Amino acid sequence: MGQYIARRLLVTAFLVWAIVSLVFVLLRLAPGDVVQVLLAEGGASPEVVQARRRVLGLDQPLGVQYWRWLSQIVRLDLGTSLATQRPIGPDIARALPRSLELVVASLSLGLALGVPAGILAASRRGRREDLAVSFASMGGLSVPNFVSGTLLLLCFGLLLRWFPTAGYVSFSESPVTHLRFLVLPTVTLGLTLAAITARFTRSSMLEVLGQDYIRTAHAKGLGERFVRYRHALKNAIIPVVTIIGVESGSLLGGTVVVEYVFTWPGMSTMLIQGASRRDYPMVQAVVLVVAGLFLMLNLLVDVLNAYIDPRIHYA
Amino acid sequence: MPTSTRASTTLEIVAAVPRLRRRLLAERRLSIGLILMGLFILGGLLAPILAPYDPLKQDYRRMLAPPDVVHLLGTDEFGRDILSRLLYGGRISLLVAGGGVAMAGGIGVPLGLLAGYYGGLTAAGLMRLTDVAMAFPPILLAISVVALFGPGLTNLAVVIGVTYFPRFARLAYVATLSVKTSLFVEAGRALGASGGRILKKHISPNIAAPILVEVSLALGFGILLESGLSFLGLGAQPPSPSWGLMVADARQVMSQMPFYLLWPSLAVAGAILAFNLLGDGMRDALDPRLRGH
Repeated sequence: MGQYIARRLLVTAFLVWAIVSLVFVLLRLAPGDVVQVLLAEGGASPEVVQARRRVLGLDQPLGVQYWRWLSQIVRLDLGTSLATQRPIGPDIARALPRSLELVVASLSLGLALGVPAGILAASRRGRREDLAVSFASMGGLSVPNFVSGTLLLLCFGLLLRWFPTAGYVSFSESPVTHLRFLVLPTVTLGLTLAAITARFTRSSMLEVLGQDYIRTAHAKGLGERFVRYRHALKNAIIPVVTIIGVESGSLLGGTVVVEYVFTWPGMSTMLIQGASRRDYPMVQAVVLVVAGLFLMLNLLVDVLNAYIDPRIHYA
Repeated sequence: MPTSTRASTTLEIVAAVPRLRRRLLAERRLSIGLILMGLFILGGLLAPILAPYDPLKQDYRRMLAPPDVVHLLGTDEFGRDILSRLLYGGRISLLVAGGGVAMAGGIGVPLGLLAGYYGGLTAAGLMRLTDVAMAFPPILLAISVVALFGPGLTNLAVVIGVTYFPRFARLAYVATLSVKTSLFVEAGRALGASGGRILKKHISPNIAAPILVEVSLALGFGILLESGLSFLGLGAQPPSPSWGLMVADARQVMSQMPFYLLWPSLAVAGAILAFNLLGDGMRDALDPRLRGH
């Protein structure tokens, strides 16, 4: 297993390098020049443009730029914002935990809802419960986060006034208020995730319930519940864990949108502001951090799977 | 699609009953999906005929009017007819998602076909590249492309093409690999057919089913991305009647007119639902083993 994890680490390291390089290439694909685009709107003189290019190192040959870029990333230096002229690292360090909090909360909610719903649907296959779960998960998959979030905001924030509509209070300031702000964004993201989880748990459970060893367990006279939870669920949960890893990408993406809807001060503000001001270093930093996070999550999932399932061959 | 299996024994007939029921369920999903998609496409295509008003025409005497006979769904904060805007908004989604998916499929499928059939080091390298591209959260990729090239409808279509083509390449690659070793391909080769002919006549028809399913799911994804980015202000720009922008507009005035939010929300969710149902239903109907249950 140690060897397997080492190999997965190597692959992840390669993917990190690939993404860092991809970001470098993307930036050079931009029409015109970063600085020109930025300053053209303000009507800057050619001398100013030249000065800015020198500051950003854009006057160097591509090879040198690439080398600088790599060494900068290795030193975990995320660069300076073009818009605010401030280093981006500290801003990310402040915003990242807030985004992670949202991710963890909605992941927990999604699993807590989705796994039992999937098991219920599979064990009541073709009956009313199954149809209800299928119907609900299809709905959950089809309503985009920005729509469900805005609708929840309207219902529970504006009309019923159960939760605050927008803003943020840090946990240390007032734990209860902080959690009240957390509820609606968590529900928005959690419902989508629950829909995905329920779907996969259901089909994975059905797959397992059709296997010979389940029939054997039944033939031995083991109770229905025992078979379902001790024999079936253990094997059915493995593909579900994998899917969560794959879906964590869209979860992180969904977080961006949901943070925007609820004005949660996480990474999304930086990303969306960066994109609309065309502040490349900002966008680049956020993209790198989130992509890195996504790769780490997938690594975690793989290791977790190897741990759960002794049949996974570490070849 | 193969017709029903000829069940010779009672046992086989009994065994076929749940499968049949599943089939019917899949077909019901298919028909609902088809109807919804038909409404969506017709609404978009016939928008100039169906829409009662110009979607951009402002009327300051009738701002935020509730639904009535004159404006079936009411008017927005500029007095524009919401129904007309919805119909034209469908057009935008259709164009952007359709264009993006056409681009993704047009690049991805041939790439996957060639890589799968000819194999070799280049193919392996290409597939590693798609791994990298797919390891990237789609909306992040989309936002980075917008940051580089600026917002706009054409750029949105390109974004969808760029984010989705690796999935098509991957799918075509895997499907080609599994078909390539079958007897009919070998027979074709034995008869002296050229590589191009085998790809066109023998392999393509046999990998069409999963690709069709993916096209449907990709269209749903395209609509999601178009409306989502427009909602964030990174897609269609005002006064364009994009559904995402309409949700964003409705959000601004939702305390005065909560129902305005409902219409574009229903439109987006309905359109995505249509393609999800269609994709799912097709997957089950075309090959019950793919999803099985």
